[in-house]
Amino acid sequence: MLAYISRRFLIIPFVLMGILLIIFGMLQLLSPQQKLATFIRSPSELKNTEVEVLVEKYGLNDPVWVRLGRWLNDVIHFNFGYSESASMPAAEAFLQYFPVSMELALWSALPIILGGIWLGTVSAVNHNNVIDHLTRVFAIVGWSLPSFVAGLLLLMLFYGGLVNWFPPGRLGLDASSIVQSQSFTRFTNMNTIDAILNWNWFVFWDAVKHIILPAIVMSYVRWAMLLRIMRSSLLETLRKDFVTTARSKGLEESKVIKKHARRNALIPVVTIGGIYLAFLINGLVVTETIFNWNGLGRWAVRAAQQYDTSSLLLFALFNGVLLVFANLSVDILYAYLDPRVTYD
Amino acid sequence: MNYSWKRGLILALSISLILSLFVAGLAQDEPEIKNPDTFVAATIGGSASTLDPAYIYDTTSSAIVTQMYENLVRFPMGKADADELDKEGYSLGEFKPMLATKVPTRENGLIRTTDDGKAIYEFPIKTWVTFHNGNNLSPEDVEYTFERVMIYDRTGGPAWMVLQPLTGYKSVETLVVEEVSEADKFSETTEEERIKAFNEYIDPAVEVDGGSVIFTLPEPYPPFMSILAHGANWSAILDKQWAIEEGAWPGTAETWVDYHDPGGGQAPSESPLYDKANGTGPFELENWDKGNEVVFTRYEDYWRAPAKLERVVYQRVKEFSTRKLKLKNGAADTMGFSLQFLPQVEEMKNVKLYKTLPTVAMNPAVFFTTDIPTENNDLVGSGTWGDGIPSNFFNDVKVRKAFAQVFPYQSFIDEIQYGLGYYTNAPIPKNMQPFYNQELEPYKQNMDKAKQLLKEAHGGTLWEKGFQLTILYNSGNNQRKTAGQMIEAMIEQLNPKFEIKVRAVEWSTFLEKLTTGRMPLFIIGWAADFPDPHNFAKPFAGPKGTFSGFQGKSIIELCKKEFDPLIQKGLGTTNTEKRQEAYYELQKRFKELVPSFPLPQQLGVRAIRTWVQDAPFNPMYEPWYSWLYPVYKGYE
Amino acid sequence: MKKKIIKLFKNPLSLIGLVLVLSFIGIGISAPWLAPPKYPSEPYRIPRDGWSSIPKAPGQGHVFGTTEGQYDIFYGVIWGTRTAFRVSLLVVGLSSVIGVFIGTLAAFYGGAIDEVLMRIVDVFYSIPYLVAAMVLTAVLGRGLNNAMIALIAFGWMAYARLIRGNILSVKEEEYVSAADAVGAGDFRILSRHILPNSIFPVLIQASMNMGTIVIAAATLSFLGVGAPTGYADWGQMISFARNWILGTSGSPFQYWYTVVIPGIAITFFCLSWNLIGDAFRDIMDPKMQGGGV
Repeated sequence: MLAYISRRFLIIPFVLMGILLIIFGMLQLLSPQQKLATFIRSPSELKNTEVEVLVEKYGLNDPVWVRLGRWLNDVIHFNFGYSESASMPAAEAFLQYFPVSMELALWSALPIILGGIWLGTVSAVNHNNVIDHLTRVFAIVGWSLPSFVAGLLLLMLFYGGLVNWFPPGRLGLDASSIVQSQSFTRFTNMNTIDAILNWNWFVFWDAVKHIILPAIVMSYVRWAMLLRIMRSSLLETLRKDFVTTARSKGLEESKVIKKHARRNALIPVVTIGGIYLAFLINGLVVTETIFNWNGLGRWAVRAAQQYDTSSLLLFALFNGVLLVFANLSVDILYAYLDPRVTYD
Repeated sequence: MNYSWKRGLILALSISLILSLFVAGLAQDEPEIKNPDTFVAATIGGSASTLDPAYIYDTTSSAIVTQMYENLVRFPMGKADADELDKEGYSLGEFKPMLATKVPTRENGLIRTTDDGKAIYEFPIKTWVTFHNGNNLSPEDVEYTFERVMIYDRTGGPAWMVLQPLTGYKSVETLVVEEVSEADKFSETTEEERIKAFNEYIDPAVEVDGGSVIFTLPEPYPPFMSILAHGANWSAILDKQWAIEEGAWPGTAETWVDYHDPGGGQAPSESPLYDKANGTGPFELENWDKGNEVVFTRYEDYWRAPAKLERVVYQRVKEFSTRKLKLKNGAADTMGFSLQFLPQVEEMKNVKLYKTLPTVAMNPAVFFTTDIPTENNDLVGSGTWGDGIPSNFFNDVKVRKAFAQVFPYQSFIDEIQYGLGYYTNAPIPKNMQPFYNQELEPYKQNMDKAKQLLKEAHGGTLWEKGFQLTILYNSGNNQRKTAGQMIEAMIEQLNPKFEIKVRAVEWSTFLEKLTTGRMPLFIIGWAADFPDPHNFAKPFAGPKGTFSGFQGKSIIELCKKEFDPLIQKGLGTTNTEKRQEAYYELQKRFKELVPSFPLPQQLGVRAIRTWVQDAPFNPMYEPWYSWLYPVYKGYE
Repeated sequence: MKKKIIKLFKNPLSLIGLVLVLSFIGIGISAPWLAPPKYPSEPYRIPRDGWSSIPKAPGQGHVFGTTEGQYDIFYGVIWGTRTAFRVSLLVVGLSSVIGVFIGTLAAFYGGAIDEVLMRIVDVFYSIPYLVAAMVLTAVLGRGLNNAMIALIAFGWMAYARLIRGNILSVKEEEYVSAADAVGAGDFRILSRHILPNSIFPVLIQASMNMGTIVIAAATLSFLGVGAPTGYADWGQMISFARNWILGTSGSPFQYWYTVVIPGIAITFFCLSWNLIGDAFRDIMDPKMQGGGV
C-alpha cells in the first residue's frame, strides 16, 4: 500500500510537466501577433506603439522552451505572473475565485451524492417495475440535458416569471455590505459558511437564495451516473448470502436494505469520486458563466478565449494536482472499505 | 367566548392591515426607493486593470478614477432632467475651472506666446482643496503629476497625449534617443543622457511659479486644454507626498528610469498605486473587489458641498439578462447595454430611457486595404480574379466608391440602430463642431451608380471575371457583424460572379490580420480620447495613423500626399476658423478618395431609474455615471 | 450476443431510445425536403428574414419562429440534426480509433511502452476537458471542424484505458498463449484473437458517448468558439437565446421558443442515445446476470 502511494506521488511531477507541455504546446500554435491579443485589447492601445516593439517587449517571438523556462523560473520565486483575463496577478485571482467555486461545488456535491444514492436505492428496490423506469428516465433526462439549457430554462422561470425568489449574483446589496463591513469576519470567503461562522442568518439566507439555482443545475445533470452505479451495486448486494440470511431471519425488507445492503453497496460508488470531480469542474465552467458567478470556471473560460497563458497554466496545474490527489484518496478509501482490494 | 372574540378581532385587524397595504401598493405609481443613499450601476464593461491614473487607458478603469480624482479644468455639464435632456448646457470646446482657480485664455493673459514661438499656459491653483487623506493640494502636486505621467509612459499607455504637446515627442524613449543621445535605441543610451533629457525636456515643461503651475509647449497645440480636462485620467492630479510614501517615483531626475514603463507595461500590478487611491474628488475608495465591484463613499471634506449620495457602487454584471433584472427590480439605478437590446429596455417600467444623446465617436467605419499580400492569405481566395481578388483590388478608387454606395444605410439605421442612427461624413464626427463639414453630402445607397463604377473599375476585368473575398469581424460585435452581412447581400445582388463571405474571428486573429494588412476590408470603430478633430483626423487619415497605417502602401501614400498637409495645418494653429478650413477640406478629399467610409453613427442611449435626479451629461463622460457629484435619489 | 440484442429490443426504455434515434436519422436524411435550403451550395447556412435582433414568435412563414438575428429556428433545428450526427459520429469514431490504437499498443507490448503510454493518458486526463478543448479550438480558429479536432484530441483516453484492460484480461486466456506457442505473428494474434474478443465493450462505450459529445460540442458553440455564426448548430441557436430569457413585462416568457425548441432538440437527441446506452449497460453488466430480485 505504502509503495503504491509513494509511486503515485512520484508520478505527480511528470504529470504536471506533461500538462505544462500540452498547454504551452497548444499556445505555441499562435503567431506572435495573435499572442499580442492577450495584452492589446482594443485598437486604441496600438496608437502609440509599433507591433514589432510590443512583440519584442513581451518576448512573444521566443521559442517554447524559453517561455516555459521563464515561467518555471518565476514560479519557483512564487510569481505566477499577471492574469490579463482577470486583470490582477494570477495568484491573487486564484485565491479570489477559488472559494467561489468551492462553495458552489460543496453546495452541489451534497445534493448530487444524497440524491444519487437515494434515487439509486429507489430504482434498485423497485427493480424493473414502473418506479424503477420512472426514476431512471428522470435521471437520464438530466444526463441528456446540457447544463446551459437547464440553466437558461431555470433563469427564464425564475428571473422572468417568479422574480425575487432566487435573485441573480452571489449576494444582495444589503448582505453584501454586511459581508464587507468590519464586524463581519471573512474566514473562508465562502458566503454561506462565513455567515454560519459569524452567526448571521440574514446573510446566510441571502447567500442560500443565490446559490440554489446554480446548485440545482450542477446536480440534476449529474444524478444519472451515480444512480446507475448505486443501483447495480445494490442489486448485486441484495443477492448476496448475508442479505439472504438477514431476510430469512424475517427482517423487514426496508430494514434489510437500510441496515445491511446499502452500506455494502456504497463501496463501488466511492470509486467514481475522481471522475465526478472532473465532471464537477467541467460543470463549473458552464454554470458559472450562465449564472454570472466569478469563480474558477468562468475565469478559465475567459482565459481560454484570451490565450491568457499564466492563468491557463495555473488553472490546469491546480486541476491536475486536484485530480491526482482525488484519485489517490479514492484508491486508499476503496482499499480501506473493501479488504479484498490490494495495490501491488 | 372571550377567546374567540379576541381571535376574530385579530383576524379582522390583520386582514384590514393587509388590505390597506395592498391598496397603498396599488395607489403608488412611484415605487419605494431602494437604497436611497446608494447609487448602484450595473456595468457592462470589462474588469478594471488598475487605479493608477498614469497607467490607465481603458474606459472601465477610467470611470473609477474619474469619480475620485479631479483635474485642473473640466467640460461644462449638461443636465438630464425629467423630460428632455438639456443639450445646450454641455460643451466640448469650453472649459470651467476645477482645481485651477481660473481657466487660462489669451484674454486673461494666462495663455501667452513667447518670442521664440513657445506657448505658455498658466494655471493658478486653488489653495483650499484637500486630498482624501487630509493633505493640502499644492502646485507641486500638479507638477509631480504631469512629470510622472511623462516618465511613466508605459508601453501602449496614454502618456503620449501629454508628451506630444509638452515635448513634441510621443514617447519619452524617442525623446531621449532623438534629442540627447547618439544611440539608436533607448536601451543603448547612457545614464547621463537620460538624466540630461529629463533635466532639459521633461522638468522644464511643467514648473511651479508661486501659486501657479506653468506649462511650456514647444509649439502651439490646439487640443491641449481638452487633454487636461476632467475625465482624462492621465491628467488627474495626484498627491505628491502620498504617492512617494506609497513607493511611487520620488520625483528626482536620477531615478526616473527605474519608474519608467514598469513591467514592460505588461503588469499593472507592478505600480505601487495599483490598488490605492487618494484624490480630491467627492468620493473616495472604500473597496475594490477586483473583477466584481467597486465601492465608493462620500468624501465629507470635499472642497465644495459634499456629494448628495453617500455611497456609489459599480457592479460588473456580464449577462445582459441579469443586468436588466437588477434594473427592473431596483437593485441597480442604471445599467450599461448595447443598442441591440434597446427594445428590451424600452418597455421597462420606472426607467427613464434617453435615446438621442450626442456622441463623439466614429463607430463603426469600413476600411479598405490596398496592396494586400495574397500569399498564404485565405481572405483573398486564390489571389486572382474569379475565385479571389488580386492584390490591388482596392487600389482602384472606383471599387472603394462602389462599396461605399452599395451599403444599405437606411435599413442599417432602421433595423440595427432602431432609428437612432444618422448619416455622416468621415473622419470628423458630426458633433465635433464647428469642424464637421455640414455642406458635404454623406454617401447614400445608390445601387445603379455602384454597378456603373464596378463595371468601369479595373478596366472592366472586375465585372467580367467576378471576385471573391472574405470580411472578418471580431466575434460578439453585433453591429459590425450585420454590417458585413449587409455588404455581402448587396454586392452579391449586383452580379452572380461576386461572392463575399463574412466570418467571425477571435479578437486575436482580427488583431493579427489587421496589423499585417491581410484583411481586404475591415469594420472597426474609434472613440475619442479627447474631443478634438485631430484625435480623429490622425488615426483615419494620418500616414502613420492607427487604422490608415494598416491600409497598405497605396493608402499610406495617399495619406502622405493628400491628407497629411491638411492634418498639419489643422494642428498648427489655434485659430478656429483656419482649423475649420483645414478640416473641411480634409473631409472633402476624404470623401472623394474613400480610404474608409463611416456607417451610420448611433446616438447615445442611457437607462436610469426614474428616482435618480440631476443626472449630468457630457459625451466625454463615458460611461455617464463616472461623475455622480450632483446626483441624488428621490422624487420631485 | 444475439440474446442480448433481443433483450435490448424488449426493454421499453431502450425501445423508446431506438425509435428516437431512428426518427432523428429520418429527419437528418430528409432535411432537404423538410427545410429546402435557400443557399443550395451552403445548406448549413440558416436563412434569415431581415436583420433585426428581436426574435419573432412562431407563426406564418416560420413554424418555430425566428431567433436573434432573424435566423429561422425550424431550419436550424432540422439541419442541426445533420450537424449533430456528423459531430458525434466523427468525434466518437476517430477518438475511439485513436484510443483503441494506443490502448492496444500499451497492453500488447506492456513494459516501458505501456508505462509511458498510460502516463500520457494520465496527463491528458488531468487537464480539464472543456477548458482544454476551448483553448485548442480558440487557438486553431473558431469553427466546427476545429472544435471537433479539439474534442478528439482530449477525448480518446477513456477508450485507451478500456481496451487496455480488456486486452490484458483476454491475453491471460489460454487460446492466446496457445497461438503464441504455435508461433503466430504479433499482428495475427492481435487481429485474430485479441481484438475481436475485447472490442465489443469499446463499441458500447462509443455508442453511449454519442450524446455526451454532442453536448460538449454544443457547449463549445455556446461559449462562442464552436460553429460559425449562422451555421445550423443547436448549441449556437441556444446561445442566440441567451439575451432573450427575460421577455417583456406583460409576458415574462415571451421568447420561450428561442430556448425551448433547440433545447428540446438537443436534449432528445442525447436522451435517445443515453436510453439505449443505459439499457445496454444493464444487459452487459455482469452483476446484473442471474435472477432478478
